[in-house]
Amino acid sequence: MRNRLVQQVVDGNEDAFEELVQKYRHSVLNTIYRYIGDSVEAEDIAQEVFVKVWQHAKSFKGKSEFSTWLYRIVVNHCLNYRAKKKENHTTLNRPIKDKNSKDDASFEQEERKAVVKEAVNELPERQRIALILSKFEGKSYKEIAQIIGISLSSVESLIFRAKENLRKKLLPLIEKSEI
Amino acid sequence: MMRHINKRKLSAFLDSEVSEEEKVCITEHLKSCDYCQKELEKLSQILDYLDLIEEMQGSQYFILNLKQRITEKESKRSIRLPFFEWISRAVIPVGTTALFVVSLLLGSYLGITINQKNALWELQAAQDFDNLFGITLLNNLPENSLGNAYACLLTEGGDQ
Repeated sequence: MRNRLVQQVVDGNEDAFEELVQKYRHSVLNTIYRYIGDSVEAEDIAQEVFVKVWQHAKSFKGKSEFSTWLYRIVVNHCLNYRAKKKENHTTLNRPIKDKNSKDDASFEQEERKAVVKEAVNELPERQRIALILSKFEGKSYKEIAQIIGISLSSVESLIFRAKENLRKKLLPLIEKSEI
Repeated sequence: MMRHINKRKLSAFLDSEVSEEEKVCITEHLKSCDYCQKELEKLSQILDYLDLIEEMQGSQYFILNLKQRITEKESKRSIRLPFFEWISRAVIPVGTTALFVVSLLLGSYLGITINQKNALWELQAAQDFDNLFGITLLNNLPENSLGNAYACLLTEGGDQ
């Protein structure tokens, strides 16, 4: 069953669509941003996601939660984006220390952020998206399984391997207090 | 010797993705196992570091830009739409009708041709039969011969 707001969007109600965008905009935007690591590109992809929602709202039959359907579109866009960008693999920029700057704590914090972002960015695609949906969007393993279209046990495995990979990348740095 | 908790299970425990029964077992085990406690702390620490990735707010013109993008896309679609409508509304029905008519004509033509050929074959066969066994061959038989008498019987016999 479609809820009232989604039904209104299906019926072509622009005000309802605006309400829907306001409701999910932040989550969609940040899921994409955490996945691709670029705020400008994230905004562009998020807009494409909502255009697709508007154009294809009728194809949502209400068999799953609307948010599951929405995140499925988000995940598809993220994976397509990465596939297109694979050839031009971009590395995230580390902050450059300003010799005149006295604010070492702030620099270290920026350095930490960059290291963590890089570690997340280096995770395999599905491990990364599963981890982001679980950690930042608070999605259950069951919901993630429905969004990505894999089994519950695969989700458990993906998230575990993502954590293990992050641990390998970050733990030596944590122990050396480098980040 | 104490068995440690599977790391995958520990990860699921951290995400509250284990059954109530497992939760009780793991919690009990953690009370007495330093190794598993440390493993759990390490996993938890890794997840805490992820909080360093800041949130983004996005442009204040997000909805405005989105509406503009939708309008642009819909205008592009409406330019393309008449063409597709023309395809679906005109070409498909006209094509189907034309195909039906062509099939009908072709069927009629084939039917007529086959009938004509059959008629020709029948005529030819009749002529061939006449040539082989027809009366014309019997005309040349010598008079007063038995053959001539039989020929007379065939041609005029019914009348005599």
